Amino acid sequence: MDKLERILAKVMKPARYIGEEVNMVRKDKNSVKVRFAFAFPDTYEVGMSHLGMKILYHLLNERKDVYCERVFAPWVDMEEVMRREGISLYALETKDPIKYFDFVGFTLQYELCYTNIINMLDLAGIPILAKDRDKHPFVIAGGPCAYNPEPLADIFDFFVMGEGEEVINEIIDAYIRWKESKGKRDEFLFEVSKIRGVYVPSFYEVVYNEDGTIKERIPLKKDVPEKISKRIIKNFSNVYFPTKVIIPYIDVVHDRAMLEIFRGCTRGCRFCQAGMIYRPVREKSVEKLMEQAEELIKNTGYEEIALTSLSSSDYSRLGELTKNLIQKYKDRGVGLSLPSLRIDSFTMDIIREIQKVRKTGLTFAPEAGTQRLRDVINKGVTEEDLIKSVESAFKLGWKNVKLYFMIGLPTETYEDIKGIADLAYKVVKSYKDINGSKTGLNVTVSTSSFVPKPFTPFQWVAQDSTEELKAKQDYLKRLLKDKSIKYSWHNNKMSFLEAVISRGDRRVGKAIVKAWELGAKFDSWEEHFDFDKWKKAFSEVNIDPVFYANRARDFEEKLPWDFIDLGVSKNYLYSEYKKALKGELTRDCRLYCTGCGISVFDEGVVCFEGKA
Amino acid sequence: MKVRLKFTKLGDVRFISHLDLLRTFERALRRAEIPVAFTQGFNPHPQITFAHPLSLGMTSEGEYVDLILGRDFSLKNLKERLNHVFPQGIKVIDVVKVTDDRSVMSLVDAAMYELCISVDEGLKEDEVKEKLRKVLAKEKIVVLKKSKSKEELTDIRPFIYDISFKKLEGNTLYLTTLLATGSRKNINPEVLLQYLRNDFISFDPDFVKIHRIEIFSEKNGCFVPLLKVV
Repeated sequence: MDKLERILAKVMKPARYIGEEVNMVRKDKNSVKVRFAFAFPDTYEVGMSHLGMKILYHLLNERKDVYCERVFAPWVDMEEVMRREGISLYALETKDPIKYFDFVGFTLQYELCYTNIINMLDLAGIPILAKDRDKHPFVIAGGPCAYNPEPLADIFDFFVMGEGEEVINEIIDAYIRWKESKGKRDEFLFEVSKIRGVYVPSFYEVVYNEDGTIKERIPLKKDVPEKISKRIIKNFSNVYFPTKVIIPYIDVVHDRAMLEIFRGCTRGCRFCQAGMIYRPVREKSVEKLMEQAEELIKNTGYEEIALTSLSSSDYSRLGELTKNLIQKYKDRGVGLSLPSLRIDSFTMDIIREIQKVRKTGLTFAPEAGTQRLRDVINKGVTEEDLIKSVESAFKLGWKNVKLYFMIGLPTETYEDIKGIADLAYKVVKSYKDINGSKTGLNVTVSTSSFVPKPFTPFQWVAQDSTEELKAKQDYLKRLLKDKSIKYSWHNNKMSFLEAVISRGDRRVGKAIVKAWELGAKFDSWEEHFDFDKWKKAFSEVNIDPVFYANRARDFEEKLPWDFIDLGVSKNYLYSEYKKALKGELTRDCRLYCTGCGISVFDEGVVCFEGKA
Repeated sequence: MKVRLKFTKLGDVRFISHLDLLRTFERALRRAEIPVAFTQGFNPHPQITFAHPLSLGMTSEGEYVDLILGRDFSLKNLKERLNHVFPQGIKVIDVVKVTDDRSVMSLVDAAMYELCISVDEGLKEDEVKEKLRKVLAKEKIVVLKKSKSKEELTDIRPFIYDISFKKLEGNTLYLTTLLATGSRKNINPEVLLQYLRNDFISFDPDFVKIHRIEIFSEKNGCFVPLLKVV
């Protein structure tokens, strides 16, 4: 028996580590010029649910000269055995150690995965710091968290800003040229730094003021860009989209055919980073989507199609699309699901249709408990909207309703927290009015704690302290005493850490490395999150985390991510912040242009032109 | 139309669980465009029934599953189409039409396994045979059987129908055993191995391979492969 086989018999969920799934790409590794390990710094189940990975994996493998393979963070039991038996982190396709690859590309989806990145590099035998790499792979990153790359500046050779479908090919082409020219490592980094969207952190130095804020960024090399501009796919309808995707053996978080209906969001919720960084809105046509759905089902046999986007009900031809899909697949046992659906009377009609095939859960996200606060965050949902939709859901037989809120939003008072409870009770009342009693009803109220994010109108605000957040959660707990209401809340210390890292600078990176040295990993998993390790790490590297999480910034302050240009201007974000404080709404920009800057960002960028 | 498939679970797919296997079948059936019938109700699901789950980590060349099809379908076509879309390691060996309306699960009475273990250097074929004779000569074999909820002393002797020497290659020993399987009487081959290791043959617990060869139903006092009870 070979070593790996023997080990797999002893770990939990061994299928995480075997690969060989249906539609996995098989290639002759000796016939390619570039071997690329697409790394996801969390478990197989989380990583295999991620659409971005599917897209880039299959896109890279369309090239004859590249073999892209996958690698995930092994669970702690597997890691322990791997370390004991001297097995280096390997890619699932060939089982070859990733240290021999040309690239290891991480996707950055969540700040609390950062220690996993370091751990994976270490387990792979790749130096964790970019400066210590020589004949090693280039370790690169993209994804939403890359928009503030600075906390990971020491780790990565370079970052890629924005949508990857085009720039990744430009990077590969540059690499092949460089490899054939037998150039030095630094020469390749300089070459890629000329590609729009690429950021090479080692070419810059950051100088700080005495008060700890940033003084300036100094380029260490001539001819490196001062601003790094994100990449946008301009012709979205024709962009590559994989339909022969890998079907995991084991149950992963989102195990279904994903159909991306559009990118971007025009709502402009002020807490939402995705709403800013994925601009502009670009839709695919119904015809294209029907084609892709058919290929997906033919190639995967999935029992469910999920329409994915940031806010599915904003798709301009949603009624037509869902009707066509239901019509086509209802006899083949294929259901439809619409996550991120904004519930209103129009979408209730669609939900009614969907329900004929398969019943899905119903989730509402009012985000805040009072109209005042919902106006502050520009979440244009009214209580009337919510109650009306809940009523029609109850009339259709739904019994389980989830309500999502955030606590700790800017300007929040206890009155707003009480509003959350009031809303929950109104939902209960509406069920009682319709069904006569509360029997069977389950209302789940979930609160996450607000984390101010870069590139949002709230990027300047202080996060509530963990004590304040806890007091608010406790208050809400006391208010939600009804048996049909269940309350769940997010770990405050995790939200605090997320806030530190998401608006961190290069110095925060030292704490991340230190925390990993102290044993931190899988920080996003409640059972592994150990805040004491982080506290110790911050103190050992002399960093005050409160400076990053709980301090309000001036408009004048140089923010660590200011050098990145994502098309939405800083002035626009600031004016949105000012409007928030006054409780003024900004209309959906499908109605008229609100001047965020994306339409003049780059030649050929076209915003949504229709009317909602 | 009810059909019974005999199939393999070999190689890496032995690491997928019974539930994973069910999902793998559902999706393969849809890819192969086999007109499998769905249950009625709010959450319709395809009518697929496996004979007996195989423990995670074991391989098999004798697994069974019954499918209800919504309409008549060529058996040859069904086998070819499925084998075209199944992942490596899963392969339909045979397919038959079933008129017996009993559930395939209720038919299971015994299963044959090959056990492969790594024994001490120098163990002789005759010694093994002698030890196995001794095992079979016992009237009672009481072991501590663990389930999810409890531990209890059980006599497993009535569940062991046969155990025999197959071959010895270096220090790799192959045994064949026929064990009670199914809802009436059941023993996992691992329990037998544990007993052998404690009392008869020492072997490395990290090098164990268990392979299912066939599943049987009892018919007129004989064990008949499920493919013949249709």
